[in-house]
Amino acid sequence: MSNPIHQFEITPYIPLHIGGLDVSFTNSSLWMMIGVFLSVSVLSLASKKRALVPGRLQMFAETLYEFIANAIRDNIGSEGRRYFPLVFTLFVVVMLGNSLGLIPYSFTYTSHLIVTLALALIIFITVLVIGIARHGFHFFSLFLPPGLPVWLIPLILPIEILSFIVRPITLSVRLFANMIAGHIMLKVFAGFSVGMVAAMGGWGYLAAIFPMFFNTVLIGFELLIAFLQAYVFTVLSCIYLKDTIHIDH
Amino acid sequence: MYVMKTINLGVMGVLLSLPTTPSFASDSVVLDEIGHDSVAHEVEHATSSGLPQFDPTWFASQVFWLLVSFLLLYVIFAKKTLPNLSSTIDRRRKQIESDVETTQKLTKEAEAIYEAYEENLKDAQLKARAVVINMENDLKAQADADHKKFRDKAEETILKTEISIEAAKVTALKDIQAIASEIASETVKKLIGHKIDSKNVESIVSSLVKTPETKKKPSKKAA
Repeated sequence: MSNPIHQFEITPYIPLHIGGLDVSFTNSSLWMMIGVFLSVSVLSLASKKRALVPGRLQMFAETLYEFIANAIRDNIGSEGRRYFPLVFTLFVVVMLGNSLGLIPYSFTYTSHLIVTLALALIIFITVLVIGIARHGFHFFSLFLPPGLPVWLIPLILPIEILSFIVRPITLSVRLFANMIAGHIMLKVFAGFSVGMVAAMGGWGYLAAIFPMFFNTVLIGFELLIAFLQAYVFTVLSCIYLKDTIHIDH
Repeated sequence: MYVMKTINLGVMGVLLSLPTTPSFASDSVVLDEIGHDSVAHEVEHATSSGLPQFDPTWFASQVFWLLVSFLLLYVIFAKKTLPNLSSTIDRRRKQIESDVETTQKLTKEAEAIYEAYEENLKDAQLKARAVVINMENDLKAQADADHKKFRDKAEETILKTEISIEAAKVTALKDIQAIASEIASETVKKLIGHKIDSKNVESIVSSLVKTPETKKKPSKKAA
C-alpha cells in the first residue's frame, strides 16, 4: 500500500488480442475511456443549447474553445485553424489524463512514457507527413537556418536534424517526468502519515496531520502542474505544427 | 535560433525530470521506516520488474487504447462539438455587431430629431418675439392715437371755452359801457338839468374805458 510505485502498475481487466498483440483492456484503458466519456458528455451538453447568452457550462466550453484558439493563433497564426481539432483533442486528452490521475485510487495514464511518447509521435508524424506533402523536399530546408555560411553547414545540419528528431522525446519525457514525480511525491507523503500511525500508535495520529497537511498543499500544486503541463504540451505542439505552414527560407 | 530553442527545451527536460531522483531516494527511506512484511514483499516485486512504465508487456495495449480514445475524441470534437461551439460564438459576435450597428443608427436618428427640435424651438422663439414686438407696436400706436385724439378734443374744448369767455367778456364790457353811459348821462342831467345826446356820452365813455388800458400798460412797464 505504501509503495509509491504501485500506483503506476497496470492491471488487465479484459484480455484482448489483435494480430498477436496484447491489447487487453486495462485500468489505464479504463481511465482513458472515462476521460473520453467525461469530456464528450460535458462538452456535448455544453454545446448543445447554443444559447446566445451562455450558461455556466456553455461558458466553460466556450472559454476552453477560446483558450485553445488563442494558443493556436499566437503560436501558428491564422492558418493554424485547420489544426484546431487536433490541438483541442490533444489538450483535452493530456489535461484529463493529468487531472483525473489526482483522484485517489485512479490511474494516471499520462504518467506512462509510452502514452506520452505516442501523443508526441502523433504530432511529430503529423508535422512530418503534412510538411512533406505541402512543401515537398523544400520542407527539409527547415534544417538550414537562413543566412547560414556554407562552411557552417556540416556543423549546423546535424545539430538541427538532431534537435528535430529529439522533439518528441523531450515533449514526452517532460510530461511523463512531471506526472511521475508529482504522484510519487503525493504517495510518499501519504505514506509518511500511515507510517507514523504504524510506528507511534496513538500519538502517531497527531503527528500524521503534518504530512497530511503538506499533501493538501501538494494536491493544489499538482493541479497547477496538471494544467501547466497540458498547456506546455499543447503550446509546444503548436510551435512544431507551425513548421508545416511557414518555412521562412 | 533553432539550436537555442532546442537547448532550452533540453535543459527544461532535464530540470523537470530531476525531482524524480530524490523521490525515489525518499521512498526507499519510507519503506525502511515502515518495514512491514507485505511492504517488503511489494518492494521486492517492484524492484524485480523496475518501474511499471518500462515494462513492455502493456506497451501495445497502452498505445492501442490511447489511439482509440484519441481518434474517438478527435472525430466527435471535429464533427460535432467544435462546429457547434464556433457557430454559437460566431452567431453571438454577429448579433453583437448588428446590435451595435442598430444602436449607432438609432443614436444618429435621435440626434437628427433633437436637431430638428432645436431648430423648431428657435423658430418658435423668433416668431413669438416678432408677435410680441408687433403687439407692443400696435398697442403703442393705439395708445398714441387715443392720446392724440383726447388731446385734440381737450384743446378744442379749451379753445371753445376761451372763445365763449372772450365773448362773455366783450358783452360784459359792452353792458358795462352802456350802464356807465347811462349813469353818466343821468348824472349829467341831474347836475346841469340838461339832457345830453346819448351818442356823445357813449363815445366819451368808450374812449375813457379804452384809454386807461392803453395808458396802463406802459406805466406798468415803467414801474
